Amino acid sequence: MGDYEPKILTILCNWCSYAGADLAGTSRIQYPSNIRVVRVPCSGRVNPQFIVKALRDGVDAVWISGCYPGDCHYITGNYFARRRFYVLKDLLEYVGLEKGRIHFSWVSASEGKRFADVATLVTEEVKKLGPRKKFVKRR
Amino acid sequence: MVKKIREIARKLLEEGKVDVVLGYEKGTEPLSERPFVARTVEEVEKLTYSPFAIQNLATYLPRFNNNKVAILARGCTTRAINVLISEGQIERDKIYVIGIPCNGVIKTRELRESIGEEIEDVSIQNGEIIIKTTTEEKKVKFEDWLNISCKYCEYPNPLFYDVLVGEEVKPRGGGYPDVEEYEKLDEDKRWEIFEAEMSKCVRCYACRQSCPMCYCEHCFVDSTEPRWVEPGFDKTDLESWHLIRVLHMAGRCVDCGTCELVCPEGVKLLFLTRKVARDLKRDFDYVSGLNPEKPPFFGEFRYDDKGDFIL
Amino acid sequence: MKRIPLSDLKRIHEALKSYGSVWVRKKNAYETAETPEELLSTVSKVKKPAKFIFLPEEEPLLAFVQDGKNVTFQEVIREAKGVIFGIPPCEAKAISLLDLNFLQGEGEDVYYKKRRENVLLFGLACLAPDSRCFCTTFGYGPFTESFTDIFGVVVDDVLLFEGITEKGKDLVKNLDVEDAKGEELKKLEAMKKEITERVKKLDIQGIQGKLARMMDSEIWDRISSSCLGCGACTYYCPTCYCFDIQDVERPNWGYRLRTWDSCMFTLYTLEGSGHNPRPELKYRWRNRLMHKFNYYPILYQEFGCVGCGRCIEVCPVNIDIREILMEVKNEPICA
Repeated sequence: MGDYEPKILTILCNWCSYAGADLAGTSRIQYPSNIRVVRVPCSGRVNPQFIVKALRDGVDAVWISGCYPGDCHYITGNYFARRRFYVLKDLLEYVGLEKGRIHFSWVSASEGKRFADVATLVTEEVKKLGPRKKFVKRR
Repeated sequence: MVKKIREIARKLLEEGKVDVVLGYEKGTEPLSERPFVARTVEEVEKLTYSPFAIQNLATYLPRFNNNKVAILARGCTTRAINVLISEGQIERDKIYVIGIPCNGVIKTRELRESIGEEIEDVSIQNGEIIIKTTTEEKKVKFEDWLNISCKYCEYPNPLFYDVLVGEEVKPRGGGYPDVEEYEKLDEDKRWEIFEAEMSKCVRCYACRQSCPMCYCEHCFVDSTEPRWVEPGFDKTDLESWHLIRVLHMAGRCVDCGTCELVCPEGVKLLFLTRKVARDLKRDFDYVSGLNPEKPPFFGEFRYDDKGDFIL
Repeated sequence: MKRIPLSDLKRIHEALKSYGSVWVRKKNAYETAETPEELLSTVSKVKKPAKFIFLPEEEPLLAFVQDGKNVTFQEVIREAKGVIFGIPPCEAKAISLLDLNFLQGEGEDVYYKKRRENVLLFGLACLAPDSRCFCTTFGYGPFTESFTDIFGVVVDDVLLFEGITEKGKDLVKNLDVEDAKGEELKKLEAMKKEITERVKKLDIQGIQGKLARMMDSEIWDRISSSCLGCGACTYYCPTCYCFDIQDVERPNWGYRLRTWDSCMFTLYTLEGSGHNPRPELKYRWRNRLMHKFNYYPILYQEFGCVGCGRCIEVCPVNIDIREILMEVKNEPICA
């Protein structure tokens, strides 16, 4: 299992989580390079279909991070996102996709260390699960 | 009951109150009670009703937007109408609702296939379905062949109506034992069952077209920019198609069961839609189609929404 | 006519295997058989028709690979070889109708051809037409042998058969079998008469000419009233052949995929500009009926329907093409 380096699609909201990641970087805090960041204006922009498609296309895991409830730059975006993520995560785990492949977090712009911690946590969990076998399009 | 339906329909058409009456008529297939659009007083004579009427008639409402329509509606049909109204697809004052309390519909396709032989005659008496084939007479219990959504239906009576045909019935008390049973299974077993079911799909889209909630002119599955689901029959495409459709149904699906009942390949879909319906009820106290004024589930939020899964 | 006891089918199986794959009737689809017992299928109407052997639900046409500035193409033509054993006359006729479209003239489809040209049709008479069947409407019946390479009938516990085409006669020639007995042939004739009469024949006299004058009729609105616009009828229809071609793209390579498509879908004639000549379901319904009962006869002097009744069985709302044909026939037209 030591060789398995998962590719984790990481969607970060511009105003909080992405800024938090930036802070981790400028503070020289190390975190795993398995995360592949995509910046979005708000976690509320994330369409659950992105996650389904990404998983199908072979990504090892998906991690979406936004602002804390109440702190959203667009006031309410992350509240809507929270409902969507709830339904999506539950449905995918219900049909038998391994628990631990989809993660959500709230990370604020000032939490550089926390960003690195969550990134490490997510990567470790996914590493433990090993390469993906279910729901990956082979051709 | 049938006489009353015809009487009401006749009067509505004669008085010009409606342009068409959406109801059911006896089909040419055994165990078939198919949707029928009656436009004249003569056609009204064909209207009938039975527990073989599997199609949710609300699906037809958006296409009659320019007409005044009378619709034969049971509990789930009125819920679907509420959702369509709340989403701005139809207007309440353009429809005349002939409410009909419902005791449940039968899994007609499954039953027909299980009989195997040519069915000549069918009747329902005393809680039994009596099927006469060319060689014998088979009796099956009505309850055994009920659509799963009907078995646990909490809204059998129309939520609103302009006229009611028949006596109101007792709800069956809710519950989601089918979902709970599947949930208890081991993760890999659940995936095995899910994949096996989805593999049967032939992408005919009967489920989508029969669903009152699927009225999008441009469905995501046909999208090429971005390409959410690729063409073809790769298992992951079939799985994506159904998973995303269920996501789009969240908070909108009224659990009428039509999708699974009409599927020509018998793909099980309700174990997915009912799971989401149960979770929304349990964790958000949300039931679709009860109030046309209420915004859709994803269209609102509460500060204390469930979020313990978020790191 | 030759005869072989059903208990001796192993020899037929061996002979068929020498041609390649042996497809037999299974409940849901035609599938390849490994054992001789499978030849004795009790399934009378296979749900998914035989067209999928020649026109698969999905098939790659070609692959393209990018290597720097170069793109190479690779043709992917999957051939088929073997025998379809037990194909009923309706399906065999359907294949012949597909052949008219895919094998003739300039429009010859190499993918279809490579799958069709090396597959023999060993037909078996249909002994159990069901209530939906109306094959005799189209000038043939459950015992018609003309669309097959070899045609057989199961009479009691014996299979009577004969070669119809040159290829079929070749296969029969190499089998060490006896001639059919007189009384067996008599029984066959009796069965043929009895079973053929069981099929309810529709009177569609003049329907093609009538349809040709009904483009603007109001009937299309009524006919398509309860239609949901799904594709179930077109998928299971043995003569429907609409397909879509799309490119599936990957980072450095991709492939062109042909998949089944349906004329009932909104996308059917949606053009790149956004214009759709058939924007409403009623126009697509009109097209479907015209295609089968007007355009096909004009092009090929054959109706594009074989009267198998699958569309009636799978339709979620039980639209019955027989009723529609009768409605069309009885519809008054103001010339």
